[in-house]
Amino acid sequence: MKSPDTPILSRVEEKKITNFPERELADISDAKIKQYANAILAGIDNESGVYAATEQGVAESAKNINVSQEILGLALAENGVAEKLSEIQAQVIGAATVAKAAIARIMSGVTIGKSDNIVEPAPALQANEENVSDGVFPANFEVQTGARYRANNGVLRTISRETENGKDRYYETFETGEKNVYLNKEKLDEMARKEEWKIESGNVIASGDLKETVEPTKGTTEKDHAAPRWDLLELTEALKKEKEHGAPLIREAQERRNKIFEGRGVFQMSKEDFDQHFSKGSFAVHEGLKQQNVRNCCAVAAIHAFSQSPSFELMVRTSMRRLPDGSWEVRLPLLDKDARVITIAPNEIQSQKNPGFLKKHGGMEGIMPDFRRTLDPVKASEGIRVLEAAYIKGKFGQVNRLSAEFGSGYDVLLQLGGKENFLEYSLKSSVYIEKEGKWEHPGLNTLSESNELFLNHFLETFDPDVYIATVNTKHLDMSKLSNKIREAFGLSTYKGSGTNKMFVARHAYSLTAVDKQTKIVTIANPWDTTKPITLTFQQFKETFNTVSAVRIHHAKLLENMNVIHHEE
Amino acid sequence: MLMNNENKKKKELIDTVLKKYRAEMVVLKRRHDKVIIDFLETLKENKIEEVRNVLKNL
Repeated sequence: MKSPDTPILSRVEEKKITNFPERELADISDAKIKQYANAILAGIDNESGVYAATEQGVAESAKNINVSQEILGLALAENGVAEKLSEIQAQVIGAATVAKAAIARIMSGVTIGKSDNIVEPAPALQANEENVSDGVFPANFEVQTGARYRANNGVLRTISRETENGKDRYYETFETGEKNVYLNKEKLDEMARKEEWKIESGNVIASGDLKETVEPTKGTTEKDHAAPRWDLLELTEALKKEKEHGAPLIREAQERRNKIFEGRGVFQMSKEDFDQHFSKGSFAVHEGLKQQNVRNCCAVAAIHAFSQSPSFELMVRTSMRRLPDGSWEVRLPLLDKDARVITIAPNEIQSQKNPGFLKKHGGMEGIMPDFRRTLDPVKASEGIRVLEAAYIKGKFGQVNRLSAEFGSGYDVLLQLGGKENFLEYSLKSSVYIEKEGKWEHPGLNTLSESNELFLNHFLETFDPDVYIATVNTKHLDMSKLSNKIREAFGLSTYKGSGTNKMFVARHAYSLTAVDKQTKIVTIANPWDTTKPITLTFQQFKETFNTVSAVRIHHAKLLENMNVIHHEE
Repeated sequence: MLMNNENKKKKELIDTVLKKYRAEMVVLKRRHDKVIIDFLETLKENKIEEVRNVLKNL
């Protein structure tokens, strides 16, 4: 396997090449033109970097089509594929180098003149440029509401329509939760045609005529250069099935991959040590977590969800090790090039005196004093307790469990895995009632149409390979005194909607699996993760208020693996 | 004013470079995707055995 260049890999963050506002053209200063040229150069670097790294490209594709990176990684080893990709990489680097050199010449004033032949694409590419820019994408393409589209720059958005004061407004909502509003549909359609949006999912196929507009136009390009206009829905579906059938194969691939990394000397912890310190008896790592008397359900739920991830072992083994004296060295964030070393002594994973004993402080609504003499670590294997302590020490400077109470699942995950490896993915149905000056926390079933689309997509495509998720229950109605008292005495349980199962209010659970066929969500209470709880999508939406998750950036993981390898 | 015109011209030239670069990238990205998609199609056709063989040779 060809190893990609580190300098290119270190700047693969995808950034949009920003256009210079046209109104500024009238007065274009030296500083502004420099700024513009630099933005373009950085954009070219970033964009070409993504396609110039083989592993990166494969992982990016895995991210887009929801198939495991292991399976895709095999493509590299297959005869011919690696060569084809290398050839494309060379061309990408070539195109970027030529463009950057030309911009440098322009900026130095050398190239300004009619005779200056800046960069002409090769004849084959020129022919294709016409085909891809005008000939293929349908001119009558219209965006449909309720659908998800991917633009040619890779950005994914959902389109929704809302009526305000009798006027239709169109929203595009990005994966990050950012929104754009369009006051007229024509502008939106124009943008879609410009960026050549392709449908990813939605109800549009049933609506009839759109299908024709996204159908591939055949015969307009050379076979070798033909744009891949496959039916993505069909392919995603097939891949999902393939993934299920291929589960043993994927495990095999993961083991192979780990062996390769083992050979490169990337791991700090041996497989034997991992099995010993992260397993509880004969149970797998994720089966035996029990939150104790510290109100850190978010942290325990997050660590439990994380321990279920196929990336868990990889991240832990590269960044944690047990020293001969029984203490641990943890590099946080795990598998991050800017990680710092946190040492956890054996006493830091034991019970500690409660500095808030008999004091009235937050969490109990200020009614009851704190009767806990000690604060106890999560009941779990040694490695998991170290991870809990490292999270607290990393965030608060010392293992003070009282200071680490409450919080949010994604924040814990970002502390552990870093903002590069993990991307925040959260959704909340809380609303601020301005008149009453307070927040309300109803169920996820009250989300707006566009956010519900996101939630449905999240549930329908949930894959532990891709997401690590915690979810939080609704709050009790605290305007009722009875609920205030219940909560003060720790009796804040309520019956889930449409089920006899009991849930704890304002409590985090780990989301560990989703059965797309039966539409059943499996969650676990951090009080005892050995007892999975199943809910239908509807019951889940009515009982829970927040999804607090991260999406694993596999490309970054691989990149960081590469950096660590180079350092070693 | 003269300076502004020169900068405006630079901007136009940069845009020309960028347009051509983007046109090349569109084609290259699609070729890149096609290589991977072709492999996925192979998977789709249930050629798991072939992949297993590849694994063995890793």
